[in-house]
This record gives sequence, C-alpha cells and structure tokens, in this order.
Amino acid sequence: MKRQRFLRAAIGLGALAVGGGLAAGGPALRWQRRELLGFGSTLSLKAAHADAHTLDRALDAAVATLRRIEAQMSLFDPGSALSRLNRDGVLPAPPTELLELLHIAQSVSRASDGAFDISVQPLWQVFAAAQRSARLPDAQEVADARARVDWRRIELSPAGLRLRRPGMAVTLNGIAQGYAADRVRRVLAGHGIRHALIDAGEFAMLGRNGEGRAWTLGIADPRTEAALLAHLAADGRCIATSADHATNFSADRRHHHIFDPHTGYSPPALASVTVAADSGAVADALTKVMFVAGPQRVPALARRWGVDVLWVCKSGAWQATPGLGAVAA
Amino acid sequence: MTRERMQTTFAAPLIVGEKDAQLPVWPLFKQDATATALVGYAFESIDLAPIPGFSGTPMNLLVLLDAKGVFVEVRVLSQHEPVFLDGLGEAPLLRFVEQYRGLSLQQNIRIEADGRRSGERAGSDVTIDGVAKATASVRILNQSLLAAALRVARAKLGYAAGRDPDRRARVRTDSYRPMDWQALLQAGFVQRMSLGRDAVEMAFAGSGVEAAAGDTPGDTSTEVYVAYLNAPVVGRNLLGEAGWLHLLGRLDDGDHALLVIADGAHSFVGETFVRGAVPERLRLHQGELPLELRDLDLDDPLRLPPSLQRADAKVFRVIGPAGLDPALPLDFSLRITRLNGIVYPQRIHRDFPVRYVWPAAELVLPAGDSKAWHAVWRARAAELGVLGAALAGLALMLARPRRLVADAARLNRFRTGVQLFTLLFIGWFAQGQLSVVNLSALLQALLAGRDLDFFLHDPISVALWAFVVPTLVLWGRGTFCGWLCPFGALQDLTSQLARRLGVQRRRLHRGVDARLKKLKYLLLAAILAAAALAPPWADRLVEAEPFKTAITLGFVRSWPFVLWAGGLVLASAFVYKAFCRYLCPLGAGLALLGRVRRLDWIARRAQCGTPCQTCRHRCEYQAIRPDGSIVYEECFQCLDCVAIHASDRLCAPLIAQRRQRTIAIRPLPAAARHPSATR
Repeated sequence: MKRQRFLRAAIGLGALAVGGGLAAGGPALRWQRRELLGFGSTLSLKAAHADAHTLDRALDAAVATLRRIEAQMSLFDPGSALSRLNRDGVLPAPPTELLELLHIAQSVSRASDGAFDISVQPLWQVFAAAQRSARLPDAQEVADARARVDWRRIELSPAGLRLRRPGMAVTLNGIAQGYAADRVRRVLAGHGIRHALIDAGEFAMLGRNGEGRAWTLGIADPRTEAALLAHLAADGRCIATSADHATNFSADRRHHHIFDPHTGYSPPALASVTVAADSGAVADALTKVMFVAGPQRVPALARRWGVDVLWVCKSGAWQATPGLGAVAA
Repeated sequence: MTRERMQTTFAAPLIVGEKDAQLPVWPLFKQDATATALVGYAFESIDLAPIPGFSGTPMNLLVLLDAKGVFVEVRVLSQHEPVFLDGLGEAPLLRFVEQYRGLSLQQNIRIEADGRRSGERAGSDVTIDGVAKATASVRILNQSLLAAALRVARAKLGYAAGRDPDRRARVRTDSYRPMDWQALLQAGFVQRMSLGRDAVEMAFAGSGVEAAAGDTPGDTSTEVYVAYLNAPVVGRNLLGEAGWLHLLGRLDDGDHALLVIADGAHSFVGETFVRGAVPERLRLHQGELPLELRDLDLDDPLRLPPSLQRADAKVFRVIGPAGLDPALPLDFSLRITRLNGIVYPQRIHRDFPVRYVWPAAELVLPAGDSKAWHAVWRARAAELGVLGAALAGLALMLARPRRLVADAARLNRFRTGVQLFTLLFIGWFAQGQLSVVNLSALLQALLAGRDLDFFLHDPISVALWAFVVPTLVLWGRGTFCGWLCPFGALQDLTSQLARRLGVQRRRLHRGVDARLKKLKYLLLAAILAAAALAPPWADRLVEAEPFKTAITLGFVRSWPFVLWAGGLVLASAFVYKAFCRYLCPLGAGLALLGRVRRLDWIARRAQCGTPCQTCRHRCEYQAIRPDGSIVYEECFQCLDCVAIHASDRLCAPLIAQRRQRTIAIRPLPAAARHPSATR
C-alpha cells in the first residue's frame, strides 16, 4: 500500500544550494539529503550544518528515529508493538514513543468528540477485504465493524495497553507520520541543526532553505496528480495533509481511507485538508477531524484548535484560513 | 557495499536511499520535478542467497530490481568459477548476465544450453542463451539471482501478501507411520488431479488444432499425482528405507523434493525432457512467483500400485533459497503443446493447473511472534537462568577464592563439579561452546559492514561472551579456558580419569613447551587471515578446532573428524590439555585479548622463584616462570598455586615461617634455618 503525496516541497529543493547565502558571517553551510522508504512511502530529509560530521551524525540519528517509530507502529510488520497489541488485545510495557503518541491521539479524540479515532482499523479491514473481491462491504458488515470502533475502549498506562472489546484494532496511519516528522525535527535540533526540511509523509521544518528563504510547500491538486493547487510558505509549524485519492475503495472516491467513526463511511464533502499546527501529530490528526466536520465547520474548528487549515471540496474549489499565507499556484 | 559505493555505481540522477532496516537492500530513487520516486531496489545476491558456486565460493551479483519485479540491471561483482577464470574468460559470463535486463521475476526464465532458443522475451516464458561448457556455473548464477530477487520481491514488492516472508512453515518430520499408496492418497499426502479429454479439447477450442491427429476417440484422461517427498510419512513410505536415505543424501539443507507422476496421454515427460534439467512442460508457482523445478534424476524404485508402475514418475527439486513455503498451495501447471501446420508448424500451448495443498495438520507453523531471535531468547529463558546463576557463582568463587582453596579436597570437588557442569550442561545440553568461528565471523561481518544480529540467534553464546569479555579484563583468558570451555572440561575429566587408572602424565621440557605454545598463535593468524582474504579456506582451517565434532555434534560425524577430536581428548591423558595449550586458536585469541587484564590477582611472595619453585613444578599448565611470576596468557586459573600459596603445609616459605615460629616458641639453638638462607 503506497501512499500518494499531497504535499510537496515545491520550490528550491531540486537545486539545493551548495553554499549557504544565509550563513552571513558564519562558516558556509553544507547541505545533505537522505531518502528512505518508510510508512509505505518515500521519506526524505534535508538538513544543513557547517560541520559535515555533525550533519552526518544528526541525519543518522534522524533516520534511526524514523525506523524506530515505524518499527513500533507498523501494521505491515506482524512483530511491531502495534501489531502485537491488535493481535493480543494487550501490550505490556509499551515503547515510550508509542505511549506518547497514543496519549496525543486520545486527547484529540476526546476534544473532537470522537471525530478522530485510532480504533477505525476494523472499518479499514472490511473495506479492504471487500475490495479484494472487487466489491463494497454491505451495510451489515460496516455496522458490525463500526460497533468495534470506540476510542474510549483503549486503555493506556505505562504498565500496559489494553483493547477492552474483542475484535478491536488500532491504526496509527492517520497520525504516526505527523508525529514522526515532529520527533525528527526535535532530534535534528538536538544535534544543533538549524535548517532542515523533514518529509516523513507529513512535513516539519527548521530554519530556511538553501537559498536562505522560507521553506515553501506545494499542495497537490487532489484531482490532477501532477498539478499544484497552492503554495504556502512554512512558518515553523508542522504541516499535514490528508486527501481522498490516497487509497480508494471506489473509483468515484466516495469511499476512501478516511472514515467517519460515527457513520462507518467516508465523509462526503471534502477532497483534501491541510493543517498547520505546532505539533505534527496534532496537525495530522486534525486533518481527519476537519474531513469529518465538513467544509462549513472548518473555519470555526480551526479557530478553536488555534491552527490554520486549507481545505479542498470535492468540486475542486479551495479555501484557506488567512494565517496560512496560501497563494494559488 | 556501502551507500557511497552504491551511489558511485548507480550514478545521478539515481539517488541511493538508506539501507533497509530488515533486508540488505538499498532503495533507489529518482527526483522528478517535485516528488522523489522509487526506482527500485539494489542489492548484492551474496547477502540474500549465498549459493556456493562451482568453486565453493558464492558468486556475487549486483542487482537492481524495479518495484514491479523487473530486472533493471544485473552485474557480476565477483565470481570464482574456474571456467570463467581461466577457461572461457569472463566475457561469455558478462554477455550471459546482460540477458536478464528487462526480464521479470514473474516470468519463467529458462536457460537453453544448445542454442535451441525460442527467442521469446515477452509473455510468461522466456528463454535465454546458456554458455556452453559452463552449464553448471550459469545454472548456479541463475539460482543465486532468482533466489535473491525472490526474497526481495516477497519482502518489498508485496508478493508475500502480508506474511512474513522469512518465516516459512516447515513440514513435520516426526509423524512417520507406515502407509501404503492408497492410504497416502486418502490422507491427502498424495493428491490426484484428472485431466479429462473434454477439458483438454475445450481449452484448445478455436485454436485450429482442436482434435489433434492421432487422438482416438475414447482416449482416456490423464491422471496427475503430486506428493511432497520431504515428509518422512511420504518419502519413507514411497521410497523405502534405503531410497529415503538416498534422497536425503541428495538434498541440501532446505531443499524441497516433489514427486510428480503423470499417467495417460499427456505427460510432462516427452521428447523434450532432459534428465537433471528444468522440465519444459511442468511449471511451479506460489502466489505470483514462479519457482524453478529441476529434475533430481532419482532412480530409486517407488512403491507404487501396479497400475502406476509404467507411468512417468519424476522427483523434482526446489532449492532452499527459492523460498518455497509448504503452507501455501503449490500451483503446478502442465503444458500441452500441439502443432498447427506441417511445414513451419506453429506451436500452440495450453496450460492446465494442478494444485497441491499439503495437509495443514502436518505443518509446523513458524512462531507467530515478533522477530525470530526474540523467540529464541524467550524459548531458552530457563537455560539462560541456570547459566546466569552458575556464572554468578563462579565469579564469586574466583573473586574470593580464599575459602575454596583452604581445603584441597574441596577445591578438587568444586573443580570437577564445574567441569562436569560445563561439559554436560553448557556443552552438550545447551550447546554453548564458544569457538574461533565466533571470532572469524565477527571479523568477516565487520569487514563486510554487516550487522552483528546473527549472533543474537545464539543466546547461550551471547551470554557466555558477555561474561567472558569482562573476565578477560579482570583475570585474563583463564576464566573461560579453565572453567567454561566444554572441550577443555572433557580433556580435563579424561586426564583425571586416566590418572586414576595409573596413566603417567608427561611434562614436556620447558623449551619445547614454550615453542609449542606459539603454534596456536600461528593457527589463529592463519584462520583470521583466511577469514578476511579467502573465506572458503577459513571454513577448512577452523576444523582444526575439534569443538564442533566433540561438543556440537557429540562425536556423530564422519570418521576423520571423530579421529581428530577423539585423538586430542586422548592426548590430554598423556600431555595434560595439549590441545588447549598448544593448538587452540580460540585460546590464542583470548590470550591476546586477555592482555587487557587489569589485575595481577594471583598472589606472590618475594620468595616465589627465588628460591622457591614449588608452584612452578606443580603447575600443570607450565604457566609459571622460573622467577616465580605468572604467565597469565597461559594460566587456566586452576587455583592450584593459589591453594599452595595459602597453605602453610604446602607453601615452602610458609612452612619455613611456621618452623621459625615454632623455633621461636621453643628456645632451642638455631638448628632449622630459613630455607632462603640455605641456598
């Protein structure tokens, strides 16, 4: 399952500047990039530092962080902590990062009244199973799966995780990438890196790009894959996007990988949502909250959460809150 | 290869990504406009499927496989095939390898040796030109390439369909019971598929060759039987005891043997069938991936019912690295070819599926739990606990030996007890014999930049090393060599027994002893050099170490090995622990590593050596210099000299002191004098 990209680092990445125009007075910056596969997608890191050795060490640590987070949260790997939780219903002594992320997820669920819910995995499973026989699940199958979705039945404690209803399963695919971007940013900053672009499926940045300008991201048009809809200049917040064309269960994109936990079906109105927030995990989770809320309620929710949002309707029309500084491409 | 070398091999615009966390493969990317796209996976075949070549050393291919399973690039990195080194030269090999470019893993790739190549490159079948006089080498290359690529495809390209591709089920080998053909058929061990004439005609309908000439009406159907021979319940029953053993001898570890019988008009054996080759009319798939079948050319008689005595029966091999999973259906297809036209006939093929599903009850499913080595550690938790307790006890005793050495009988009992524990529990039961192979494997892994994960699969050895390394720092090599080496314990116990039977030990002259002790360093140097430069030689040289024969295999091995190991054990009865002291390369390695020792923990006095030589003469290992100092590199920590040192009945200086004291109490003239004054 390959994820498609909705958000692209649009400008200034193809040509990484060799020297750093921004390093006025200081030693020249070296830029390096690392590419890897993770979270079912291509991840890439770019970072700058004057000292090649420091830069290498920082990027090594960043790659190790991505690998570690994926190893905990992958549903693909049957040995991951999350897979074991889903299989056994309990997980004694969960890894710290997993526990931290689950706490973030639960607090978003609480504050959104369950519009974001990491226990939607049973819905994914019935849609995916039906897709293998080239059909959609019937209403009964969806209702059965939905009955097993309930974030309140996930019990968290440092001693162990527990799913309190049989047949429950947790997916972190809607939040792990934002969290990973955030974590990697902290790791890089901890190594003294001041300029970096982190693409862990969702984006986080530090400082400025190789040309000394603010990092600019392009929002892909959810209808025309190669085209960009808008640019936005990043301001240090993490940026996450979800769209309806990532994984489809129906050709008309009515059924896709984002589920409304209350109905069991995909939210009908939006095609793509981008959220900028201080926390990568929260930004990522809020894209789903906005999806579920629908276009009318997005501005109010954005104010309430103190984030900026760009949303694209199924019609292709888009809007953004002013704080995002989005300009049409 | 490092990422840097990969990057110079696959130049820009390709970007070499971070090496995968699970498999030794590098993702390759390409930057297009704003997105980074995956081009494919680059890997070395030797990391994934090190199949020994004709020379014994695996060939190594550099492969770039795209995300759909198509070979983008195949290059020879290293090869030691005699035929391509001096015979034909490398050129034909390089030309051969070129042919893979653009082929897909999903195609059946056949090598045609005699230039009888069909020229097909598309479709499900493809034929490439072999190299005359190098059939075997080219076949091994093909197997290495396909097996390595299959592993990557299963792990990375989604062909494993969510299963962990490295955890395959195994067929049960403990369920043998006598069964005849009929019973095997009923139990589902042998499975039958009928290919009716109507079905064949239906498949050829509309092809222009509907009713082939020569087919008489009423021509009966073809029966195809398939059986998985590796399982004793099938193999032993169908081949008989002798045939079964012969089959096992023909199979390498992990190979699968499949019996296919065709009875009727359409067989897979025909004029195109070549013994020992890949059959043209029979294919095998699992999931979307083809697996190569190769005739094993087995002539052993099969116990078949009379009706099948004349049928075509062949045993095929699927090599272990190909990754056949007996828990998944084996999808065979039987190809029927008809010719259309007479002058330049067009060959028309139809494939008929034959599915074989091994009974689930006869499978040992892989542990469904995390990664393999976690499971190994959990499974051996009890053994590790016992070992840990024993090591802790030993460490305490060695740290505070005073109580132990106060009584000679107690020291002897303790030593014999530990030796028995080491031999029986650590060695034969828990299989924890450290070996110079650990050192050479470490060296090779470090040189190749490989992960050291493989050590983790042997928890007992890891635990022992974790104990031995700190003891090297504290006390030197003797802690392992004297207390924890199972083969050492075996020698010690043997020589104790021999002594009780009245066998006299010989003590070699000091000069001879000193020279022989250097031998082991030479052996170590040779092994490490070979490990770095000529790995096949290292594999032979490490056999100088009898541990595998004596401890791992418990002397169940071919006679030259048993003779060597047994001879060394016996030798210890005459020259105490001759192997340890003169030959053991591991001991040599530990002696060198033991030079980091921080403590001179064996107490000495000023009188040791000058003049007292008691300990030196009593030291079975000849590890005390005439000046009384301890040669820690040769010391096995038997504690004999520690006991002497602590005993006022054995230690000459102490005896003298006692006498002096006695003298002091009894005011007599000085008749007995301090020994140091008499010399």
